[in-house]
Amino acid sequence: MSRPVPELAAEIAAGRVILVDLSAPPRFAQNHPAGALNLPFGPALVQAAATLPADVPLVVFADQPAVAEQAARLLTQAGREVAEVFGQGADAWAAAGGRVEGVPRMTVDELAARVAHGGGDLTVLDVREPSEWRSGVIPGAVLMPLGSVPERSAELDPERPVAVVCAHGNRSATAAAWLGAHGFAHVHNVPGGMALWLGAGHPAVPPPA
Amino acid sequence: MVFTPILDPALGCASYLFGDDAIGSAVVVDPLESVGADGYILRAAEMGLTIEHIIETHVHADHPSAAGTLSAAVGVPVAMHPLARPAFPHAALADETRLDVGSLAVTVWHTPGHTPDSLSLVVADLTRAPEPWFVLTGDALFVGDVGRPDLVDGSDEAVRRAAGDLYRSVHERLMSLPDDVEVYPAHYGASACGGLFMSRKPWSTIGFERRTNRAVQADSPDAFVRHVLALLKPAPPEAAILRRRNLGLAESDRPSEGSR
Repeated sequence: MSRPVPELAAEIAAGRVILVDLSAPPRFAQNHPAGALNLPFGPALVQAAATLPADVPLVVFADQPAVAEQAARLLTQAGREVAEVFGQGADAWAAAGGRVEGVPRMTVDELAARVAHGGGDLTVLDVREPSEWRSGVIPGAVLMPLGSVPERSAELDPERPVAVVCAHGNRSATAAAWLGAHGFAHVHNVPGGMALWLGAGHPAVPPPA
Repeated sequence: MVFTPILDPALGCASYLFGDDAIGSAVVVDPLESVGADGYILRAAEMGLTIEHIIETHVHADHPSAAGTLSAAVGVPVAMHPLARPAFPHAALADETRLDVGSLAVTVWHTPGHTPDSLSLVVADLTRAPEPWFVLTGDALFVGDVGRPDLVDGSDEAVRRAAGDLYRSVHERLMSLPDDVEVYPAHYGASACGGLFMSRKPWSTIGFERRTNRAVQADSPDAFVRHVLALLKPAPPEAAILRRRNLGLAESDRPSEGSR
């Protein structure tokens, strides 16, 4: 790290660099530098980075120096310009003057208790693909595949609490983080998703025809 | 859940990385210096996991541990049985301590014999069932064999006492688990910590060991101790040095070195 964090944060906000957060989606959803893109560390990292604008330098971010450095090596080998490497995690980013954002978690059991009491004003947002709805959906859930969330988010009330689910909690984390960054005040990600919901025997209904 | 054994075939050592991928929390058990702290951190990151617990099933006397360097890198204390008494700050894991790792329940069983501080970890995935799915047996129970009781104190009296402890740990404790519980020991194959009958296959089940492990088949404490003592190999010459090193007592190679 050569440049101070507030300076980097301004570069990110201005779109002059892209901050790539290597965390797994559930962690990213909870806490990440404002403006970060989530490209989870793993075999698909370089391929995923190829979808980013080629001429914008990257800031590589992780909660472990070893992970950030390894990713920076792989991305550099693939021809990407890596401007900075930050391996100390979101708390250190905040302590150094960077803004972090994120959405809290809601367990499937907490969600089930809310749904059992009628849900109140809670919106359950299911971001799985239509082919996955056959396994059953949470009663009252709004069905909105992940790719359609940005264009269809206007269908949701940003003032009402939203609990986002998918199959295992990765896509829902991505959607929850996006909603949180786009004006939704009370978004929760549901770790474990429908696998955990159905596994725990919580109620599900067939999808609307 | 996710579960990945990380093996060193040259040493015959097995370490384990497992956790709840829904929330990204992981445990590392018996990390090896030959793999290195970064090796565990990168494997965990690839699986979307953050290392939140580091557990040593006992103070190892046959290979250098990476617990100290991994602890310094990820900021999590090494957890060990209180009888380990290492020179570095650690978390104490007494018998029946339960660690919640997301929806995994990890229950500590004190299973002394190989060393006074040896423990086993009985693991349940509560999203599947409340009962145990597998047990990490450290150096108490191996595939086809049991741990050697002579590396901490090689005197006749101490070895007999430790062998008696091992009998209770294996016969009365571990064998109380159901047959279908999987067994993941800390050693296999070439390891100096096992005897004549240790398999080169790293994993087994409680039921298979109950039926086929000669030490488990020994039908009395005396027969068990005779069996174990008859199979003892010479102690590895560097055992005392490695124990001191892994306790953080060796000046030249403290586990905290290499921290970031």
